[in-house]
Amino acid sequence: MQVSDSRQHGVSWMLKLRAAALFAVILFTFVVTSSRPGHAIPAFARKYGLPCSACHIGWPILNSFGQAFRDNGYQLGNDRDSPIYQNPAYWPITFRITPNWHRESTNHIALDSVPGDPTSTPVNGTQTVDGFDLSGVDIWTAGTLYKNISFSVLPSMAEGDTFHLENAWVRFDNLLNSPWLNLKFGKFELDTLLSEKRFLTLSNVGGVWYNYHFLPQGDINGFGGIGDNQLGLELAGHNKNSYIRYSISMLSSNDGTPGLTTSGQPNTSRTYDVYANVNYGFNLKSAGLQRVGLFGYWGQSPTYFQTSGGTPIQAAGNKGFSRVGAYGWWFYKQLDVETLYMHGQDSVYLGNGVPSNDPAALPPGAVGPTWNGGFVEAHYTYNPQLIFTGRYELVHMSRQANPSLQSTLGNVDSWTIGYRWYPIMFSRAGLAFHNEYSRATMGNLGFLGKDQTSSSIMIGFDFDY
Amino acid sequence: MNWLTSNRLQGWKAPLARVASFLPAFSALCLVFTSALVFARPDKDAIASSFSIDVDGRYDDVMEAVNLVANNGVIDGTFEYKGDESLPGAELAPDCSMFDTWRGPGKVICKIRKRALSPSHFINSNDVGTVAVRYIVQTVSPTTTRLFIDAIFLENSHHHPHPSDGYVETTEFAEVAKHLKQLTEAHDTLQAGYSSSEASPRSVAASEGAVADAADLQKVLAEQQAKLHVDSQHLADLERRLADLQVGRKLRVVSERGELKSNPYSHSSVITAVPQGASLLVIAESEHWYEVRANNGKEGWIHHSQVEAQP
Repeated sequence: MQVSDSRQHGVSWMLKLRAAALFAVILFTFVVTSSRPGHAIPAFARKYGLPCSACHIGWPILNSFGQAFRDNGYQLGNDRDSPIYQNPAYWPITFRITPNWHRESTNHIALDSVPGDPTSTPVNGTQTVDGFDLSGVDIWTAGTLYKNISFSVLPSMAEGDTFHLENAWVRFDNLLNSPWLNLKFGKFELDTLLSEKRFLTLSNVGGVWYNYHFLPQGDINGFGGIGDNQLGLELAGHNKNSYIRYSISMLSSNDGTPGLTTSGQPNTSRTYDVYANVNYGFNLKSAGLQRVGLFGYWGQSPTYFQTSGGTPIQAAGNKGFSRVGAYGWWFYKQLDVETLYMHGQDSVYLGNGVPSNDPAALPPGAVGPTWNGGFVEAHYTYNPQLIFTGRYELVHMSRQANPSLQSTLGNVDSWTIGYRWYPIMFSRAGLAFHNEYSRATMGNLGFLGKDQTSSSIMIGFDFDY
Repeated sequence: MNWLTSNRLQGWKAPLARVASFLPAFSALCLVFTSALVFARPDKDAIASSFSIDVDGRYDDVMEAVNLVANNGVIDGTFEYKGDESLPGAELAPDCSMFDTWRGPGKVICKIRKRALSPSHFINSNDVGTVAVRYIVQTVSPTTTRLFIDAIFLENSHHHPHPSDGYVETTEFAEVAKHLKQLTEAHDTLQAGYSSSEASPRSVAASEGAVADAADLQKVLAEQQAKLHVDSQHLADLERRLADLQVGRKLRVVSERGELKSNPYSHSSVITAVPQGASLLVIAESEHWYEVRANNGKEGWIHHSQVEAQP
């Protein structure tokens, strides 16, 4: 009987495999044969009557002209910028959301052996959930207030959250009639060609570049990373085609949180960070434009707070940290590859979670933690409506904050593959069918110090209107 | 012991069943990804001579028609901005380096438009680059001429070539055909006139009885020439009246900074700036542009939106 059941089970497996293969073949045929050239994305395509391919390799990745258009304050630099060309009904706003099905799994979790009883002996377990879901919604408006004055406002909200401002800035472009002088003021994305806001992966595990957000275990640094939008002032410039660019920013040391807030404590922001980025584009004979760049972030974060009646009123004991790195964006025919190297270091006080006014609390042998990381991410643009992507990323500690920590604690090794297919892309709306698998292993973070692996599968429709 | 019944493997059944629930989606993802990388080929391989036709026309006439189209300043059948019908700002190219060298017979002419922004009707058009149209004119017989037309868009940044979907070539050919028809009709008219005047004496020599016919033909010719003279005078009068209407009108610059351009296209070079309120004299007018003379004597084109009529 068992054998018979097993045979039935085997037959069921064969049917599932055949169904999977058939589904894959049909989907592949449909995807490849249905792909047509892209046309437009909403916000600026509507304004100018341009196809989306004017500015995007594939939405949302910018091509060379798209980068120049963005750097020029969302202006083409010809008479099409003039209000006489604008449709009076034009309203520069785009909504974006991604209804999806996803599956999340994490292993080596300490499970209570008696559910609901935290005092019971923990056992090793795996958590797996799947189902239909919604992403947060972005409501993005951007454009020009006047000639050479551009703006962007992006309220964003996830299910159950209140709205927050992902960005809100005004930019004075081409000061002194020079593209080398542009001043941005407000909350904005740190200037880099490898933008986490414009990448192609969306799943819970693969929807971040870990290098852009990494902190060592036990670190109390309030900085959320290069990938977080920050509040401040940016001076930027570029040559005519934006092959050569620079930016330097002065930023509040509060990770872009409004309200003069630091590390979640109100009315405490009082120091400033600096971020700088330079990048250079050059032509390789047959492959064309290639881009390389350098960046650095030098900041401070408080280690304790002055209090009044026990309420924090001012951040204190600020200690330094830095993130520096280099990147390249390499193009060959339909393939482009993004590469990044980054080195991070935090103060010994931040790394060990010790107030700087209490150095005696530092553990023996305490030092400032350091780490190195990087990624290689490839995109294959079959055509502007079908893009495949794959990424491998790692962040490895080179020095833990103190000798009691395992050398590999917190290390990240991650990879992602996926594709996006854009069945429609018009000046009114864009729709991408998004399919992605991501996996990340965190060193020694699991049950009994085991490496913990999380994975995501995501299938969804990413659309904007 | 049958391995399928072992307790250890029984414990794997539940996880395996769970894996099975998402296996179709995951395998589809993997297969699509790998298959596309293996089988997908760039569209540039599809570049080929895309349009050719044997035209009923003399080589010289076709050549003249092609030259007129190659110098008309626009590329038809493609556009940058929705609502436009063609790509202005085109110019005759000194060489056709964007195409493979043509080693066959015939005359080669090229027209290009630089800094075109993702022009329509080029396959997977993207970014900014140059649009080029190449015409190759070959003699087939005294009355038949072969014409090849190719169009391509080449990105500036990554040199990706994007062949036309064929619409640019056929639309450009329609322009050539229009000019060719006009030239052929003019040629036939001249030929008819020449034949008439040449044929009559021969008819006289051939037959005494044809003298009366010759006289009739000469009478018809004289009547036609007289009519042509009247029509020419009428045309000249109309042109003079049109010129009177256009020339001498004065405009005032209303933009903060008006620009006189070398040609009536947005991308043309700026000859000079004219301040707000400046007075301009109209020389000619097109649908969107005035050809004007500024007070300093400089002449150029200015967009309708930058001026208003001066009372």
